[in-house]
Amino acid sequence: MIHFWLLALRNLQRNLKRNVATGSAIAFGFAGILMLGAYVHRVQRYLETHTIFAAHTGHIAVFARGGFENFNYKPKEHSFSKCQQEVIEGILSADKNIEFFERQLWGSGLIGNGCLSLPFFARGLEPKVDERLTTQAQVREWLPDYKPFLKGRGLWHYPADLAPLALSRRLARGLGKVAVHDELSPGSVAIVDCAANDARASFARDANVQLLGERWEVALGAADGEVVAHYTTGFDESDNSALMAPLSVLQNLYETDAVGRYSLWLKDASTRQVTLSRLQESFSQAGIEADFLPWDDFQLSPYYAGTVQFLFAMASFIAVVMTVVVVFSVLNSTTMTILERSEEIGTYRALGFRRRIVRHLFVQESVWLSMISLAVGAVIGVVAIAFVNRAGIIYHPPGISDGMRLRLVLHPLYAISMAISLLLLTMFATWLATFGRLREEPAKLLGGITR
Amino acid sequence: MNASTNFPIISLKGVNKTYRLGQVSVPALRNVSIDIHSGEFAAVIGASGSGKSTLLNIIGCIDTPDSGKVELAGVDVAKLNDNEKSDLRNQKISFIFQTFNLVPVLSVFENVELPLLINRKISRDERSARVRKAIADVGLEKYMGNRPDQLSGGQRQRAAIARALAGHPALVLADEPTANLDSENSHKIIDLMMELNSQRNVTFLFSTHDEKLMGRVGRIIHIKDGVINS
Repeated sequence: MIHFWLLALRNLQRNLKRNVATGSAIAFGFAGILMLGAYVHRVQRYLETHTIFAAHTGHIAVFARGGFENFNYKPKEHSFSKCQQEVIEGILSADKNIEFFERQLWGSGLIGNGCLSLPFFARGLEPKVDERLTTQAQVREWLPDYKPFLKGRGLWHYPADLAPLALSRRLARGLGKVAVHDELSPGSVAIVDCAANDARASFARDANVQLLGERWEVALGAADGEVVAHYTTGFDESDNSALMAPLSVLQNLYETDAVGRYSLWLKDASTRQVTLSRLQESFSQAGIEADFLPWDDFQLSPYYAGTVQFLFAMASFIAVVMTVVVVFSVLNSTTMTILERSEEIGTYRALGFRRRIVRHLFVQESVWLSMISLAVGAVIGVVAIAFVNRAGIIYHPPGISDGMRLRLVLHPLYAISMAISLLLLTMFATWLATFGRLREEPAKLLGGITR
Repeated sequence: MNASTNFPIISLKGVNKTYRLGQVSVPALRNVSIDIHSGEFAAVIGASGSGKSTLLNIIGCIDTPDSGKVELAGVDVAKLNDNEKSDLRNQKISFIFQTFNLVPVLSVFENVELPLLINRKISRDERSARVRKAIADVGLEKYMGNRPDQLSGGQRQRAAIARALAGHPALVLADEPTANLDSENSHKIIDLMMELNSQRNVTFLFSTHDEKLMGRVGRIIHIKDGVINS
């Protein structure tokens, strides 16, 4: 017995050149779609991981009511007091889906080296949480080359009374603090003559800086700090003013025990919305007014949200163009095949084959061609992805100071869904191509173009 | 030759068919009325373009008349939808084509089996038995596994005849079955068809313009300019 699937497979051999050409269009189109998807997937997961972990955003950010918009102007009114912190941390510690959390504070001021003062914008973090974030599995997977500091070590390596600071690269350069604490001999203090020609060289001989900030209550506050690390924010516009400090240093500078926000990291991020709702209810019952923002909120993570939206829009457009090319290639090829095989179709119809069965025969041929081509395309795509990853190409997207290594990561579910979509589209294109021809009387088909 | 019965398996009344070629209308059949009885072995004779093929196509339900009535075994074909016509062709009518129309990627066995695959009433074993018998009846047992391009013209037409007979049709329509064959093979094919008509009581209606075959058939239907003269 000849099975119709086998007949379809044999028919593929009849016009090998055309089928190879069509198959190549499908294979290379699919490989391109896989590479594009792998690029988007990698960038999206990179940015996601960077946002949640490296940027200390957490899966959920909790602000005092109105704090997200107004903390910078009225920090005292839009922060969590010490009493509130105790209640909040009780709630957070009791929640089964919260793995850990961090108290944060931020503010601005001036940072000086004894001769020169520059504006800064500081983030006050908990060094132990910072350490924990660098070892998270998701960070190891998606930011394998992640080095939080260009020079020096993390804040958690130093005692709090040292007031360790990490300066953004250009801020450190502006202050002449090109050497960090570990590079200098213990207790080294440089006496600087600001008018001297070698003043900049003197700045580099110690890591001490002075912070000046407006206290929340009244007057100015000042604090000493020790530059223990240099880092990059990844953005040119903030790389000359950002600094990281332990939360306690900023609390000391602004003379407060309040915190501006909590960042929460979840055990199971997929149930974020449920956790968020549960926390809202718990906070409400405890009488604490707070705003909860998910990590991918456009206001909270504008760079992530904007970049990913643009990326998806661009990738979708390219994928649609590629798919349309593939589908039209199949449509064209099938139309030609059907024209050439009109007499054969007429024969099938004369033998009693219903239109549906004849259409299935051609769709089955298309399924074979697509499946073989998709398999070839998958191999081409995977090999090309491996080649790109091994090439170690560095590219410079906007806002990323040091550039990014071009790495493609294919998501199997994406590959499978794209393959199924292309298969269905080619089947539809074939169905479409056969539709009109099969409406004709068998006698007309038998008198049609012959091979 | 098998004696025909009085029961008309085919009945055409006032059938007209006109083809339109651009702005020009070409009448192919004009007011054709004819009865073909079960078991007949009849030939439609006429010059090229006389309407032979159109007549066979309409009888075989692969073309539709502009007007008139076509009945096959008492069934008004106009009342059948496309699927019902397909089933009728598959189970009651078989075609033999001038150019054999075998599927080139299938063996002789597979080609003969092809129309039976879509008939769910036939079991796998019965299908196999019918195919083997049909191939044996046309003398192609040794070529069952051969593809059409490995056969001569005469053998290909035999394979086409086997395909036509495997479904046990009531009517076989053959459109110039000998046109692509030499004289010797033409006579062999006609002999074979006559033998099968006699053995199986299958109605044969074929078209030809070969006047040498006229003396060998039971009934001759002359057609000229779409009009039947006998």
